[in-house]
Amino acid sequence: MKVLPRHVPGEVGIWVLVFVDLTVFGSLFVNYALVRGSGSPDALPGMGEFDRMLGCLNTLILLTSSWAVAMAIATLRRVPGGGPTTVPGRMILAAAALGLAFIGIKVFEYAQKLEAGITPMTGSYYNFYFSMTGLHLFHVVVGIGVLLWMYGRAGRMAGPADLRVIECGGIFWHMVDLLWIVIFPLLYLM
Amino acid sequence: MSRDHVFYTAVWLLLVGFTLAAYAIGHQAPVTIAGPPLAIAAGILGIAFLKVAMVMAVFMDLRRAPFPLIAIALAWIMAESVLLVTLLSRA
Repeated sequence: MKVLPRHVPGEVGIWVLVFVDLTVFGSLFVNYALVRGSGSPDALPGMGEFDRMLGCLNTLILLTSSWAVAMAIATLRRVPGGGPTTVPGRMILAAAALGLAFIGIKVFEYAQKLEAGITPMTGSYYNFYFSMTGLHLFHVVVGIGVLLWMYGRAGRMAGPADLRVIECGGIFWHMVDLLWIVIFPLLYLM
Repeated sequence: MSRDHVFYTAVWLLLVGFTLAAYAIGHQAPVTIAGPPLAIAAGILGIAFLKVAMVMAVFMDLRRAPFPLIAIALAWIMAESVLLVTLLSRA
């Protein structure tokens, strides 16, 4: 079996961005855990069964979107230097559409909370809820822009250098997914 | 479909299964001010960080990366999972 040499996926710069983002979100997670673990009544999560289902649905949406991006890049690796990029292009567009579905569910969730008079000032839990999910939502919006850029770049792919920058876009989108993987149990399940 | 395509699809199915399992475990204990029992917190967060490791290793291709990059990712996963389970679970 052929053993491939180890290499940095994408470019080094994207990993710097990923680890900076993981550090920022990681501090938010620990801060939330400190407040939640303190036993303060206003840190008690206010999520009902319906909210949990929406959170779970959004997790499945982002996982599927990540899978679509991984499949697209795997196809592009098999066809270096351009060629038939229709299938990867469609997979990337599908990933972006799933990102939009995530935003739609989140906006619905926010609207429900605000309608019930719940704001970030309602208590510690909702302060963390709105700040963590809001910052993550910003990443989703940026990520959809990145996916659309990847779609354009995949269509005029000319060589390995193009593949590396497309991989960088994919790594960013997977990071958006993995951040939600932690946010969901923290804010919705415990 | 290449071997990579099959592998990615299998991992995606596992991730979906783990998500549903964590959702089911979340129903085992009511959400209280005191926080979840250690077993529930460790179960739910253990699954979450296992999923994070799978996304990093497979979808982000870290399994083929140089060891220092893998070590940084593992350090983040270990630090976050231990801290969160310790701080969140009921004493």
